Parts: sequence; C-alpha cells; structure tokens
Amino acid sequence: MVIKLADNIYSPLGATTWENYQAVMAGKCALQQYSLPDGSLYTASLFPEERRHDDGYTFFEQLCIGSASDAIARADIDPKSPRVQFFLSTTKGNVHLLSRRAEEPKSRVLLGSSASIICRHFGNPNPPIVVSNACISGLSAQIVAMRSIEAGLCDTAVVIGCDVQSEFIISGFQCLHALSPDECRPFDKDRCGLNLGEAAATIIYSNGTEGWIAESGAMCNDANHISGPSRTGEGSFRCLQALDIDKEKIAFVSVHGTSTLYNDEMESIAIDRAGLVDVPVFSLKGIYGHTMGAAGVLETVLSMQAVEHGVIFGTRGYHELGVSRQVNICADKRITDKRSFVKLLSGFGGCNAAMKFSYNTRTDQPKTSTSKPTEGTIPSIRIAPTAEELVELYRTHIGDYPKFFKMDPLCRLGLVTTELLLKQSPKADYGVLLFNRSSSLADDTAFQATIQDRGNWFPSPALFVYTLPNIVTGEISIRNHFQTETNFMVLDAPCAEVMAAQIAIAAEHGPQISGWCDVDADGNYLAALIAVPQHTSKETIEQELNKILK
Amino acid sequence: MEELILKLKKEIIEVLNLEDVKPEDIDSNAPLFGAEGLGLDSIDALELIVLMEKNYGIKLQDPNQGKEIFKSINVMADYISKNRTK
Repeated sequence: MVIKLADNIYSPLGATTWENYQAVMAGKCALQQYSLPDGSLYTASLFPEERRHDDGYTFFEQLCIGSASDAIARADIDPKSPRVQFFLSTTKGNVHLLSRRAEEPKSRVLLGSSASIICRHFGNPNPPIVVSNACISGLSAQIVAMRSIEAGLCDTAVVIGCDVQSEFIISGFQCLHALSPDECRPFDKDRCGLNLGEAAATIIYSNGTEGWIAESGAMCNDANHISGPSRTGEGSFRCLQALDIDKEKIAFVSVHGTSTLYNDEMESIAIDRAGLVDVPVFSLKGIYGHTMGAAGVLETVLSMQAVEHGVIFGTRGYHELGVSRQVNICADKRITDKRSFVKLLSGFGGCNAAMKFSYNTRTDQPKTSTSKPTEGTIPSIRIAPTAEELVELYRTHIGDYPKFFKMDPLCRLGLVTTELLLKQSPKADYGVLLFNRSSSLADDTAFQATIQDRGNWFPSPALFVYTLPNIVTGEISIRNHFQTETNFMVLDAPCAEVMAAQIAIAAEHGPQISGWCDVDADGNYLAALIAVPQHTSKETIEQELNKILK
Repeated sequence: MEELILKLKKEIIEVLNLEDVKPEDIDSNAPLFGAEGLGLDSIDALELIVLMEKNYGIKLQDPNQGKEIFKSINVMADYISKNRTK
C-alpha cells in the first residue's frame, strides 16, 4: 500500500503542519484586503512583503525548498537516492519574473528549470516531474506519485505543491471577475468570488502498511468548457463515482469550495449525484484562500490532521446555504470518529480530481490489474509547422471548428495534431496526457504585455484563460467528447524514458492520446503524439516515442 | 452612428480573433451570443467588457450588465455613444 511518510505546510499561518493545524483550530486566517493598479480591491492570504526577496533562489523556490526540507527531515529519507522521485505541483511557478526586464534569466520562468533547481538543492539525481494541471495539480501530482510507487518506478515520492501570487495571477482572475473584494464565503448565498492565497505544502509517500493510506484517485474531464464548470457536475461526479465510496465510512468530503457562484453550485450537484449529500462537507478557502498548485496537497494534509484529531473543520465565511442541492456544509467544527475522507478539486480546462484516504485500515480492497500488456503498432504523428502552416492544416483537415481561431498557439497545435492522429487511430474515450518544456510561456508573455504598462493596464481575459498549459487537454477533450483523465506534465527537456513510464501508468486506466506538445518562446511549434491502447507496456511506448521525438 | 458601428465590428473581429468574419458579415441586429449570430461565449463577454473600457472609457462593474448591452451591435453602439468618455 502507498502510505504517507511525512508532510509539511508552509503558509502565512505557520511553517509546519502542526502550526497550521493549531492556527486553523484557533480560528486564525491571514486574509487581508489589497488593491490592484486600477484601484479594484481584492482579498488574499499572502506572505509579508519583507519575506519576498530572492537569495539565489526565487521566493517560489525558497517556499518549495523550505516545505520539502521539513517534510524530508521528518520522513527520515535520503533525497539523494535514485529511488526517490520529486513531483512539483504548480500552475505558474516563477511567472512574476516576466515583469522584470532582463533582471533574471528567462529560463527561470520555465517550470521544469525551476523544478530542477529545487531538485538539485536536495541532490536528487532524477529529472523532476512538474504536474501543471490547473487547480487540480495538487491532487493530480499525488495520484501520479501514488501510481508511480505502485508501478515500482520509485520507492519514495516527494510531492511539493506551491504557488506564489503576483500581479500576473491576481489581475488575471480580476479580469475574469472571479475575485471577491472581501473575505470569501464558500457555498453561502452571498458568495461573490474567490480569494487567492499562497503556500507551499509537501507530502511524502512510500510503500508501507501503517498510517495514512492513499487508497485511490481519479481524474475526469467535463469536456464542456475551458473555464466554466459543468452545469451537471459531470467530471467531479465521475471522479466521486470512480472512488467507490462507502459513505458510512468517510468522515467528510474536503471540497474545492472556491466561493465562486459556479464552482460551489457544480460541486453541490456532483456530491448530490454521487449520493453523498448527507456526508459532512467543508472548504478551507475561507482560511487560506485558493492556493492553486498548493491547494491539493495543503488541503489533503490538513484533512489528515483533522481526522487524526477526530475533527471536521468548519467552513469559514459560510452562513446560509446558497447552492441548489442540500449538501451537508459544516459551518462550524464538528467531531468524528471515522478514519477516512475524500478530497475533491476541479479546475480550468474542465479537469476534476478526487482522492480517498484512510488511516491504518483500507475502506475497500485494492484493485489489481491482471491484464496482459497490449503489444503492436501505436499510431503516431509528428508535426513542426509554422503558425501559418498550422492554420493551413486546420483548413485542410478540419475547417468546421471556428473556435480554433480563438485558441492560443499551444491549443491550436494540440487540437490539429490530435485530429490528424485520430484519423489513423481506433475510436475510443481517450485520456489526454501531454508533456512539454515551455508550459504556456507564449501565452504568459502575451498576457504580461497587457499589464506591463501602468498607463495601458488592460488585462485580457481571453489571453489569461490560456495561461495554463493543461487548457490544451481540455480543448482536445471538448472537441472529441473525451470525459476521462486529462493531465499535463512539464519537463526540463524531452525524455522518452520518463514520458513512457508515466504514459504507461496512465494507459493502465484507459487508452491515451499522449506525447510532446510545445510552443517555445521563439514561436517554434513541435507536436509528437501517440495514440496508446490500454495496457500498453512502457517499453513499447518508449520505442515509439524515441522515433518521433528525435 | 454608422461610423461607430463599422469601427465596433472591426474591433470585435480583432479582439475576439473572429478569423474569416468580415464586418459586412455581421448583422447589426443579430444577437452576439448564443447559437444565432456570432455565437460568442462567456469569455468573449469579458473581453468585450475590456474593449469598452480600453477604447471608450466605459467601466462596467457588474458583468451581468453586459447581458443587456451586448445584445447586438446596434444596442452596443447605442450604449457606447451615450456613455463614452473617450
């Protein structure tokens, strides 16, 4: 079984998990009101300004290293071991560096580059895997880590979740009208938007028999809209259904609960559809704000603390039910003697994720796969077009999807390449697992240009929604009605071995459209994708990737 | 007003990347959102709010106001002509 060895939360409320748990139990929060250059107000949970300095490591990297150092010391593991794998869950990493002209090397904005720096600090020899799957990154990274241990890829997985806030992110959410000027009110009838937050959190997993068991995890795409949640809670419902939950055994569902009108409504529908309407539910966003890449790890770790202490957290900011389903929202703390819980998240790109955790005893029997690996040819495609050639490919091979022109370069590339690949592949409900090096750098740069000049400060919502690399997996899912797993990983460099291992793990759960999809800062496009049948071996995948990545 | 309507159509085509659409293709009375007309969505609506502020100095605090103002090009042009500050 995959069990937790140790954890850490490094937030404005404290530098350890215990300090954070005590702060939450004491009713503390670090939410404060701030203002943007256009005068609009927002509330966020931020570290003090004097902490925000670079000392060779950026502030983002300092938080990651600080959080992981504490967890690694508690786990008593040797991070230099080749059997230890680092996973970094983040959405925007060092994106704030884009605003500083020539002060920092641009490479530091690349998530894989920053992750390698963090990894090197601990002397780990393996290439780190960055999971950048919008707001579900923290759960996606834990699911990937759990499966990597189960598949024998590593003995120990260090999962670090972190995001720091900057004008880039805050102005982006502001132009989407998603921010509340005041403290947020998850699930409340008067909720009017989210608060952003910053934190780092680490959880370390290994094989074992006692302690917190990562029982199961699921990811499902809504295949509905790149920024709006499904009106039927489709993806979240499917995730909860996949976890095979015995509602008598779980203490609570720790929900996303961002306090936006649509997210909370969507979650209430998903919980109701999954038959969990009586199960206690809470959101931690009224305490920490939305910590993005850290949220999945931080909220999992705090939920574990709650169960260990027989507590169900209250939902700070909640007073009166403001969603259509009668979900059992905890306004205040409650007690519990149950030893399991579910963590639920959803994010841009239509992605959703859920995990089930239990203390010492599993609530169900682990599923073991007895399927033999599928061998044979894997359909593949590699294209490296110019922007103009890509439009021509669209006109020649698709032509009837005007939404294409609204997409950013990465989504255009992923969509067209998938379309060409599917022409030579069997029909299936494919999962989509993509990798690249540049994340969404081209779009990040374009969005930064809309806020760089104080006298011409007009952040663009249409650009901001594409500043997440996983949006391409959502666009592919929407176009093809794929409603299974979608995930996006960023590497410092293309590596067929690392990619094949992760694709093979994903392919255990279903067929995958997978591979490399990158648009770099100079506008060079490269997509090398494969259509992988379920249960394809790592060796077969690696062989095919080696052909198309060269 | 005709001049403003043509300018607005060109701006919308540019800001929303409506490739293959020309100003004369847009019916000034047709709905901008939904299946008919241009078939714009919620992100487009937010982008139009930015356009209103950037090009005409009109700041909409509540995105829901957009539902009325963005009914058609004609309604939008009428609102701009009455409320513009630049």
